[in-house]
Amino acid sequence: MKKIAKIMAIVLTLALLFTACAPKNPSTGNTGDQSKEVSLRFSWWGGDERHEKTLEVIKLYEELNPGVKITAEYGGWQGHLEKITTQILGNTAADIIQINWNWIAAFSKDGSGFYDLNTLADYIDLGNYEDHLLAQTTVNGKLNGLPVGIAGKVFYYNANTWEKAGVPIPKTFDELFAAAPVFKEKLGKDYYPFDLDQYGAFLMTLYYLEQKTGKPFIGDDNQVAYTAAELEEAYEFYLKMVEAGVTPSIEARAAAGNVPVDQTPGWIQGKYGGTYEWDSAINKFQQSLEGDQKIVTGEFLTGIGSHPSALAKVSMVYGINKNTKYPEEAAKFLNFLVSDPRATEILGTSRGIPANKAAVETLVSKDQLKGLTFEGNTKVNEFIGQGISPYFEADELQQFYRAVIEELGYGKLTAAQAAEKTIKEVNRLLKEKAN
Amino acid sequence: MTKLLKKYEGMLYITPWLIGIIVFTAFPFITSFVLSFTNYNLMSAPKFIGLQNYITMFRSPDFRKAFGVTFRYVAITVPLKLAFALFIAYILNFKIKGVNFFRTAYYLPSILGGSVAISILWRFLFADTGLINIFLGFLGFQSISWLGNPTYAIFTLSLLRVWQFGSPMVIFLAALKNIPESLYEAAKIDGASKVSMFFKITLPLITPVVFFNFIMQLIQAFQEFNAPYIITGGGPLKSTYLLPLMIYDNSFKYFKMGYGSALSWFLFVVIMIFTAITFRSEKYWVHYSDGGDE
Repeated sequence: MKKIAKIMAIVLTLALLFTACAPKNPSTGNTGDQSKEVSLRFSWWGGDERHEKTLEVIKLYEELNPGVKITAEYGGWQGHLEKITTQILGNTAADIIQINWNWIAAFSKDGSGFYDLNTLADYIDLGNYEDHLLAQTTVNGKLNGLPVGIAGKVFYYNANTWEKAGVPIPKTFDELFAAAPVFKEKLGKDYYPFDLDQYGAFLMTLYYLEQKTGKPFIGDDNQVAYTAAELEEAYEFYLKMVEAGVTPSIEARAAAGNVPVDQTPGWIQGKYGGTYEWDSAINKFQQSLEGDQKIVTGEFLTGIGSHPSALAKVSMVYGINKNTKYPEEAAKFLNFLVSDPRATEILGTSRGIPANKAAVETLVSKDQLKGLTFEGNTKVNEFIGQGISPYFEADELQQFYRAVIEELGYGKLTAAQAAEKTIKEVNRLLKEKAN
Repeated sequence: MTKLLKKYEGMLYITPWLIGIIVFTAFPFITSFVLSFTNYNLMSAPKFIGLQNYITMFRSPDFRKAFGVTFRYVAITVPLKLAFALFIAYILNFKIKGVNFFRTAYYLPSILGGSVAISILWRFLFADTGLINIFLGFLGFQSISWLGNPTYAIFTLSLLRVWQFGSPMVIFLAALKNIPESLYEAAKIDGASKVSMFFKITLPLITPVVFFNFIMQLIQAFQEFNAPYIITGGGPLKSTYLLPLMIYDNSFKYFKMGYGSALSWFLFVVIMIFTAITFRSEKYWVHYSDGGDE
């Protein structure tokens, strides 16, 4: 009896081991058979509004297409790239993946990182996209993804705070500067007309420089296009903003810990009068505000130079996993997601203003093209600058931008030193990224 | 058959564990060593580049800063945590009313472990408008920029780990309970004070446990990741940018797996050296009462 028990134990252990090591059987069985259930995974990042609406569309699609099961994988922006990286490399990525535009440059240098959507043109109506947009997601003739939309950085303001201060919302930098002492006097010394975190501050200096010079930050030769003197002037400008109390210092901001702007108490309580934010993300800033505070869309501040300098880029991209088992099914769902009137009506502008023409038509006919995102997007298009290099947002560069602003903000570097360092380091990193 | 089975039966029982350690520990361990001599961006095959990663590493000011910060963090956290754990254990060893309740209460923070949630809580507590500053303001003190000041930020992180002193405390407590009561009685008769009893009797007798706790805490502190990642993001001015954070950024954000591996191996060697030094020093200060040297 004892012996049997022992043998049983061994057999069980072995059985456990083998099942654990065996390759996973596709639970769906025969892939060619249409009557069998198709199971797709769709991953994205975003805020609550986007999550809820996307889940609703998935539910609708499953109702309309019995036999297709879509698993949603979603979360916030922080740490998303790391998650997707591990998944793509470990070959466990979802079938349909929402990616950031610059990830194409990182994951698909030769164009083979994602499924070539040109080969799925029977299922996705590519005619709904402007050619110049598709060109931005095409590598080596392979269409790596569908651009979700164009997003830009916009000046948004907390209307209540400005009202309490009794100052009209500014149209020029001079007016913004003039508001600072009024804020301090009427509302308190921890009130600021505008908030810039490290990255926001860096983008603000670029906004300043593009308006002044008409040049983008990174030129066609993949080098910093500004001279050291120009960068120094922009950094000085930022320091002036801090000194004048227009925006909290980096040290004051860091005191809240490592939190996104929309989650800092200063923003939530309305102590920051405005923020420089992506039009596609502004809704979460509105939602995080306490009480009945309202955000309004501001004008692009002028008074520096004659050139339009709004920063815009392909906001996000939908890609299909190159190893997906069901490319056609994935493409069908993707097409539904980006162009179907029912889906569009649900999604609204939760991912910004769509690039898909059919979706825009739906939104226009349903009178859904309104609100902060749309207003911001319209303003961006009227003031659009030179655009950005695909390497601009690479993580290592972003880390550098933040670091240099921090060193500037804490007084470790002068504006001149920071300018020199920026040119040297950014050029070095750009060269590394391009190889 | 039965004979063969008898012989390897034990092996079979531990196979699940063996496979686990080979797949999840040994394999990555060796792979990372090999990778540390390559340039590997995850997308294309690793390229052998010799010692280049290590050379880049030692030349990098970021690395030197991160190493310095890591060192400072360990130097602050470990002694503070051990001293605190011993202090509380010593108090809890007295026969006071409700001691069991206090033992549980003091152990609670450690159950929460290095979790993400506790780090977020810490971030809120020590934020400029957080509870700690509100409390300080209540007492009439100026509020302190715990996370915004490059000098204080690392202390704030240390404090989180010091606060979680429960597990070394429990071990200390067990050791304290093992000290025979008769020694104290004898000392008391000879007129020894409480302080000299602590330093002459208690401390020498628990040195083996101090030794054990020291090594465990040392290794843990060198590997700290969650707290700086969540609370400060390595800032301000990289004053909390510990080596594990740098390893993570390079490996998973910049796709420099080779460089990340080199950094990991450096960290491993540093921990090894410190552990070895501690072991070497053992004979000078650790007393085993059951050993042959009495």
